[in-house]
Amino acid sequence: MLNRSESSEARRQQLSSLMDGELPDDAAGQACALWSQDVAKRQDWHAYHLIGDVLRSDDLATRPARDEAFLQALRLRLADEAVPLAPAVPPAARPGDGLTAQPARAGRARARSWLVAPAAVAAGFVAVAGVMVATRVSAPASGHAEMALATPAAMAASAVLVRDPQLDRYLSAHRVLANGAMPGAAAEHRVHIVFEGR
Amino acid sequence: MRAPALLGRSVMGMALALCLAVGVPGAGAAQPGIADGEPWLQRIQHAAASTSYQGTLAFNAGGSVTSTRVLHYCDGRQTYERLELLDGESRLQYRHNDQVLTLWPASKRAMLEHRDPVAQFPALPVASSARVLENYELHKLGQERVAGQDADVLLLKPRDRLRFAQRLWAHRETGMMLRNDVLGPAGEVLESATFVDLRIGGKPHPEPILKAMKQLDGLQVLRPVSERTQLDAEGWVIAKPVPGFQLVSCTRRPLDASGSDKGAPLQVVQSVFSDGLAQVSVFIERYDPQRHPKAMATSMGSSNTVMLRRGDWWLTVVGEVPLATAQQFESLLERKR
Repeated sequence: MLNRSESSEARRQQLSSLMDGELPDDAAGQACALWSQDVAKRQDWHAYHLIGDVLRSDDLATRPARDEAFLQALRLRLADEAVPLAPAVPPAARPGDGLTAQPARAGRARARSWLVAPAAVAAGFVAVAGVMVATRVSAPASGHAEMALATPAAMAASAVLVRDPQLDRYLSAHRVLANGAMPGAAAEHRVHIVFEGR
Repeated sequence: MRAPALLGRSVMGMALALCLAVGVPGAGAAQPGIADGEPWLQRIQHAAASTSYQGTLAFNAGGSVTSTRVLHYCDGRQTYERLELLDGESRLQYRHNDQVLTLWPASKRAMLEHRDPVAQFPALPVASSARVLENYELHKLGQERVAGQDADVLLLKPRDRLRFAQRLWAHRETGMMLRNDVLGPAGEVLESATFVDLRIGGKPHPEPILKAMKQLDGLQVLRPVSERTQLDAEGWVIAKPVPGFQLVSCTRRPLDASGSDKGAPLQVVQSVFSDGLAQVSVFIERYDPQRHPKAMATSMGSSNTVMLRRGDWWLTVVGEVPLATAQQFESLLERKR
């Protein structure tokens, strides 16, 4: 369990590391317990995600009321949805459990009434856990750990595909002078991986 | 408290893992370096400056491929060239030494300019081969066949992490470069320029090229003017140079002279730095909130770009170097006044 003497700052740090996928399994479990049980930490957790969203795109910088409205609308729509007829699965062999990294937590989530779509939440959580695992495995195994860390992490990078004609002109001007390429060559075909938000 | 680094690192990590899993032959696979690499590089340089050839050149970067038909004549002292872009809007380029005419036949536009590029495939940059070898180690990887020709495969492995490795295929007989790959840190090909078909030698026929360069009737002819300048004359200084890179040119010029700008073309100061193999351009211009909405860093093939605002100025660093190197250029640039 959590050490009571741990400072609030250290706990925030732990949440931040969880988001970055830097925590080992047991510490990740603790950090998740932290935000699921402590209201203040849940707010921190939400704020960090909001920061991340805003760095990814200005469009995601919306007021929480909008998310609330969306959730309400989703609830209403789900209530109207027809129930698909599927053969019943015995509880022990529910496919969701096989995929869920933290079955105990998913079970708790299902029990909560305020979560309308626990399966979706669990699925989202699994995706995050998957990425964390991939990072942990690849960094030491690669022998290029330093290189992986030297990549644009410092820039709070998010890989987004963006077309930017403005950028093409600089690239083209560089290529013409530096490498003797034809001016404006193939600018119209280019798609860039853009790391936004420095 | 530290801002979360989001998923960027994770994505890079996975890409790295994938590359390793597939087992791309990379920089690590090289045999010990060649003790005296200079003759190899000089041979490539000499071949580019003295060989006549014609063929088709394919350029592959960031998932897009463009091809160009090339006609290149050398008669000892003079160089004549005709390039025809085979993808997208039709575009031709005629060159007689440093005189260059670019032609957009569909829109009846032409651009006439003096040009002195630092390097043009299949040549290496004009810097001495000794400088290349200060920054890169030369390895011989073996022999292969490219565009129907026998070639020696060479690897230029960077001596630090500020630059990318390059793999070259040099024609056995003449030394002419037939293919050039820029490699990422895990040995993956970031971009590649290669002849897909090639005929070396033959008698030069410069007349059609010279004739085409004089036929400008009915064309809207642009003559962009670029003037030489100095970084310090523009009020800037690179206090500590990025290791291995030297300033090779500094000009004040229109960013896009091809006439697609409405109104007066945007003027920039462009400084080009070279480490003998890779080039980095630093563009400096006045900050304009309309044109410069957001700082960003981008990656396309081997080209990495950093753009950001510095007070009244907007800085853009573009180069065939790792993003961290482009960032280093940006951070070392200082305003003097």
